[in-house]
Amino acid sequence: MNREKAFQALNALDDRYIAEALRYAPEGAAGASERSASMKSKRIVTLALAAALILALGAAAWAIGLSIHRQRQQELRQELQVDENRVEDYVEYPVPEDPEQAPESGVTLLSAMNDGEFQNYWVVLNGVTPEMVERMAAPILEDRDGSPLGENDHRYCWLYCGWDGESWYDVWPEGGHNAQGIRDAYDPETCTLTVRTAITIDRMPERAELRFIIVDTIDYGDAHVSDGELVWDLGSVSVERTGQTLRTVWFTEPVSFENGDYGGGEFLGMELSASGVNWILRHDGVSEMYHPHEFASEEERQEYLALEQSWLQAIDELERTAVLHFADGSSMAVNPPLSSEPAGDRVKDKCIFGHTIDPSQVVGVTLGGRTFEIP
Amino acid sequence: MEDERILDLFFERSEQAIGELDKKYGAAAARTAGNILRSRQDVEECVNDTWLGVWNRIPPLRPSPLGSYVCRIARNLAVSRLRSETADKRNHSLDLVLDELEDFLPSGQSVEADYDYKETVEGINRFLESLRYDDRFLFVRRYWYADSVKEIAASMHRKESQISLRLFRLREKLRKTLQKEGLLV
Repeated sequence: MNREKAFQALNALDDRYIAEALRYAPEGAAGASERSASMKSKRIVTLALAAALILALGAAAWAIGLSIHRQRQQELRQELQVDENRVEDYVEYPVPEDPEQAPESGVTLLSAMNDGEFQNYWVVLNGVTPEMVERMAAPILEDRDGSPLGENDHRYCWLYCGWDGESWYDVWPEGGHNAQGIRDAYDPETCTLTVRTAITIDRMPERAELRFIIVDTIDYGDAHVSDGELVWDLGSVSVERTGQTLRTVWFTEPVSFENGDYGGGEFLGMELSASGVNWILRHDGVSEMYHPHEFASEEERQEYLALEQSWLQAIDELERTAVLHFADGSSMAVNPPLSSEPAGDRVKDKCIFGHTIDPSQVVGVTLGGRTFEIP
Repeated sequence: MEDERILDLFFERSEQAIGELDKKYGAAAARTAGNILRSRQDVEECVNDTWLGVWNRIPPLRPSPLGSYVCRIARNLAVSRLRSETADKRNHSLDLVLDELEDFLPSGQSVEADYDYKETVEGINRFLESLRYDDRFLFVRRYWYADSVKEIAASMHRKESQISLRLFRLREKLRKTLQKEGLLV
């Protein structure tokens, strides 16, 4: 297709998508009933860690007699296969064991896990009323003055958490980032709502007082959580960044690759964790790609982006061939990386599995058509 | 102000309509034009022409969504202005965006080129429908609004390298989708 036709084809994109992209609004893109479609990619990957958790919620007859907090912890352990995979990175916090001791308000921290890309926290919100749940679950079709919302305006009431009063992170029930997810995760008997949040590791301080709020936001095209109306403050909980255990493996021979005129590179090894793998590689463009640049012109910047894209493409092609082999004879393809982190003249490409594994059971890896045994 | 109310003002031929439109969509129109035109003055003129264009079309039209309609006019006016001013020169940012996509779209050289074109447009729209919000936002901002990777990365709070990689994967996905639908060999 020539350039003119390509331009025209793009020009004819559906109005809905052009309107939707006027501003980045993942939490409000499609309204409360369709929030699952608006989840960030990072969340989608991590969400799979306990996708079936909701089935366990409310069905824990075996746990009767324990506090709802302890029940939730046990359910999470099971769903995340913490014991089966001996996941050291999963941290569980003390909670009231006895239902009589359960707090009536505030936030109870259940557990945390650092998956290398995100710091995940699971919490129980106490003292959540049915009114709050319905406010979040029911679609809102009117402006605050009672007038109907425009076709492209969205008003929604949702949960967020943050520690500095400026940046807010999405909070969602494991069962789904939507109305049904909220209703399913709510236990009316104990007035508790079990939810999760994931904070990008490089934004997460060592310690923080995580505050959970419900905000009523109207998105006319330029709204933000901080512009919304605080409806309920559910309290806060102290959290800290947790560690990640890595098993470093060096390949007996580097896996080399070429990137045309830009040069070449090699995969040297990998760092395995219960929730992901970091590929360790070195290539000719590293110093240019991962160090701060000041561009003399737009043209220079575009050239840099072309170089960066070329490397990412070459590396991506190889990483897509990666398969881990386990002691029991099973194998697993590895998801492509979500981000890269420079380390001297090397780079670590971080991939998240979306579930947990036992890193000690990995006995081999296939990359670029070559298979290495791991001692 | 809601879109419907702004449209009512246009239908009433109230000059307040332009003010409200500018307040709500002025920044979006300027950014759309600014991604194509380099001169600030050109962008301002283009936005003013956009308001005039909207004023002349509404009524009788009552476009919905109004925001995309405004941006579409701003984009077309910006491209027309660019063509008249640069003649055979290439505008780097717009051309780079088209360069990226050119190889991922059908050649259009066949006798059924017009049919192919319509099918391709529908194919791209179906492709967008199948994407998650983040990916759709990324694709449309890059290839319709012609945003730079840096701007997209800033608005999505991601690294430029992540955005570049994601765009690459989306183009690959588009190619596969169009191939699967028989629109691309």
